[in-house]
Amino acid sequence: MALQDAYYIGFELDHLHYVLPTKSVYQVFYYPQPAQPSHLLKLDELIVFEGEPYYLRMPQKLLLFAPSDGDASEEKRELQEKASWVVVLKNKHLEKKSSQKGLGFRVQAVTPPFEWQPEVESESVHEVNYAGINYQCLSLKEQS
Amino acid sequence: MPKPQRAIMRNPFSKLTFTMPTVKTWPTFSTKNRLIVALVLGILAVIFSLVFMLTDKNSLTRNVVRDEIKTVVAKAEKPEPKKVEIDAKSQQEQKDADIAKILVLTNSLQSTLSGKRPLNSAFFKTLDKASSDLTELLKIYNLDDVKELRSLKNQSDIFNNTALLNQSLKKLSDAGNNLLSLTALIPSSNSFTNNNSFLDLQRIPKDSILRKMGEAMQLFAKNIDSVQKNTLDTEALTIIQQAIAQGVTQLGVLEEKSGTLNPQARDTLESLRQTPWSTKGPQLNKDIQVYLEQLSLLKKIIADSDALKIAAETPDPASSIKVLALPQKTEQTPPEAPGAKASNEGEVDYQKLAGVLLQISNDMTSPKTFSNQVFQNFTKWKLMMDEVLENAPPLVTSDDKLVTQNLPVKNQAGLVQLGRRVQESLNLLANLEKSANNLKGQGSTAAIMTAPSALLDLNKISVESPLRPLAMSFDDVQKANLNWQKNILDTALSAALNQAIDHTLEQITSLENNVQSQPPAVIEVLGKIRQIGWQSKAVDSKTTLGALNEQMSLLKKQLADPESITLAAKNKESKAIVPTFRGYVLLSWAPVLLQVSSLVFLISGLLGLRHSADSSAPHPTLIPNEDGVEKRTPYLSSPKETKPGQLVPALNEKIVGLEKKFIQSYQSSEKIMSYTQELMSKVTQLRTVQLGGGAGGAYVHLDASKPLEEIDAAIISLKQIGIRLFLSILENHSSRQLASETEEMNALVEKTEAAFADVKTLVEQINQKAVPMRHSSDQAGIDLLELDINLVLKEVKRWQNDLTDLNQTIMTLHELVGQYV
Repeated sequence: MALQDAYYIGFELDHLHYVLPTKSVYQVFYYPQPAQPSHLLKLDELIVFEGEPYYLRMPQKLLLFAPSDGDASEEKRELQEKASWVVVLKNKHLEKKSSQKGLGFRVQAVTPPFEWQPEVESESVHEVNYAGINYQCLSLKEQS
Repeated sequence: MPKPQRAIMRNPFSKLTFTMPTVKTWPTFSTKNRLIVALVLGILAVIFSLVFMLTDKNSLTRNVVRDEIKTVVAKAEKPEPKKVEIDAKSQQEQKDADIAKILVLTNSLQSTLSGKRPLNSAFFKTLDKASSDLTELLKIYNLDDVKELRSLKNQSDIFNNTALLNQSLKKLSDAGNNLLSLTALIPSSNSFTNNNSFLDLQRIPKDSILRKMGEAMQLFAKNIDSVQKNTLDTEALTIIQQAIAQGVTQLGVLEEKSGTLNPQARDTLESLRQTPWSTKGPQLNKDIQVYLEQLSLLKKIIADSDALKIAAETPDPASSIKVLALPQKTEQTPPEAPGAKASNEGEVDYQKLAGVLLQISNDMTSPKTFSNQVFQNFTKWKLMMDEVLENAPPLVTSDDKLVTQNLPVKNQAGLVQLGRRVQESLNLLANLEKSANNLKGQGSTAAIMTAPSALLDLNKISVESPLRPLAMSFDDVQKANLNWQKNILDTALSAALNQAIDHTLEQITSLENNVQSQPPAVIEVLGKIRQIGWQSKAVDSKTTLGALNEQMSLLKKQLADPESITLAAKNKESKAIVPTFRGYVLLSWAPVLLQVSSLVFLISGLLGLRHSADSSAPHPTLIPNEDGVEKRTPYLSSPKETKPGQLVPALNEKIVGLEKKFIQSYQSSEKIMSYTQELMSKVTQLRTVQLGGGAGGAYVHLDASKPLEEIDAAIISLKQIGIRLFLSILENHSSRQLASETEEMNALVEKTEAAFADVKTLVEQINQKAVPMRHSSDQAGIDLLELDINLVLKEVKRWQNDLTDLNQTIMTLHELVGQYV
């Protein structure tokens, strides 16, 4: 197993904590400017960081949440727009160049990657406790 | 692969297919289980090949080999822990082994509880460690209903008393950890009893209602220093307890009569309410009580070491204390180290022991620059010693005279004793890491104080100034500290540092003795020194330096004669061991190692882990349907078949890509370093922030918003780079060491962030209080503010320590990444 498979990166969304496997994350950076939605492009947001454009969407469009957490209410939207860290996913459809950047989303805070081995057998939602905080493991939505 | 081996392997493995049902039910196994089976098979194969070598040389018949194999296989298959009934013999064996461990633990506890132990968490951590060791050891016995101390006659009494000992240790350590907050009472007890402060005993008449409170605080202030230096000073602790009890009672009396107090006394009470005396006092009083009780109980339990030794050798067959379950052996012998086999089952691998000792001895001859790596090495060796001495008898005597004498090591028993002493020294040294860092930190403090345009800048202080000698001695401390860091093994350098610290302490004392006649500049400097607690830290530093020196020279001395160590490892003494199967393994494990790797490779190939297309090699008849296995484990083989011709360029391309990424990582870690250094200097600024507004502003204000904002930004940058570096390291399938180092670095950044948040909150709180700047009439408010600022300084200092740790990890990381560039 590659080293990368054992590491997960944590983040905070709407006061809840989640993890994603680092192998599906392309980049993470701090972006304190609030969101400026660009409806013309039919993308939720377009930002430029270190000279590179990044396309951001609401996390609900990219990640599979538990039914109760995932609804995109107005209140959550506002929280989202102020969130100052950005997580960029990898584009799964370009397999050959697996580090190709995909879509990103804003989060309120990021926890550096940590090692975790989820139980393979269990079908239910995975949870991990790291440094006293419970993180829920998310999986990605199939991107269209 | 030599032919005879394949021949011998076919035999045992064909046997395996029906002795081990696991192989038959192969397809239902998960990846993990397959790996375990592969490992087990690897180990078995090693044993078989060893057996074969034996038979070859001793011309035994093949039948004997088969018998051997049968027993080995039977042993490997025996389900270990499920047995409910444990026979008397294994009961006794287990007890004997555990009693030996208890003796060692008690011994080390005895030395922990003698001598001086400064009031810090390190000491309580040692106790916690001892307690968790004991809990682990005792958990297989039915000792839940143990209540009273027994006189030591046999092994059962030892178990009984050890259970009590463990209970007492837990209570002691819990109460002890709470004692750490004793320091919270120091600032108030000092400042309230200062000249012209609320409770200055010179001013308060004998019959005043405030008198007794003042006395309590003064008693506390006078004795707390002894407790801080030595938590085992029960006399001083008893006095401190009395002082706190009196203080708590008096606070109650004052509260009760608060309606009838005169304005001045009411003012004092109001200020007292804001000190930790009212909040922490009652609990501290209880904690000291528990601590003192448990300490004396503990000492009583471990006092009679002679009786302990006699009782240890007296089994108690009629005992009601039973082993409930034999501990599971979780350790798996990796196939790469067949030599370790020899250390199983109660024997000591003397060769390995000598090897480790020689390695340490060799390392102790080269100079050691101060770094956390040095201490990590101590820990590493200690763990190696723990492992190799796992089954060895405990240290016969911890008599100081014998330990310091360089006893000649003549035989294996002597070697084990030497090993035990080295183990003890290594343990002590490894535990000194934190204190040594503080010692190093003290040098930085001295450097800050003598930095250009700082308080004690030598260029700023005239030759006639009374501060000149002090400034010079601080400068000496800083230089001596740097020199000492260059080689912490050099006794002359550490003696010089010790002397420089002594000299500075003398200078401070002599200035403080004539404090009334000193100019304001001197008083200001003395105030600063008191604020940062330089003197008490200097005492700690001296203790650390002494302990480091003592243990390191002890270690050097004991390992001074490598030849005798080598010889002793071979000298079995009277208790001769007949050359056995295991003995043979010991001597011939080196060539075996080569075979092990090839065997393991072969077996893993069989299991489809790394199946290479070597069709010419005939497969042993281990797995009936190899193709089936292959199909069910597609993820175990490499996803794409690379033809040999394409492999090299593809690999080269990968390596080039990897190198590029590592250069990027290297640059990132350099950036982190410069950020950390920048942060350090910002914190230094924060430490020297002055109370503003003296002339113009109407309020006392800690004007630190600018550095705070800057630090905030720097921490976020640090965090961002840390996470991105980590992602790129993971992306490139780097080594585990690099990954865990990066993980630690990131964790330290988080810690730094949290510590900084504390500092920020404190500063904000101070500014919210906004004490008006009136003249001497509002001394009380200013005093309280000073307490708060002291707290900020303490937090900043703690945080600075975090930063030093961080710097250290980043340097290690830098080094590690550098190795790849």
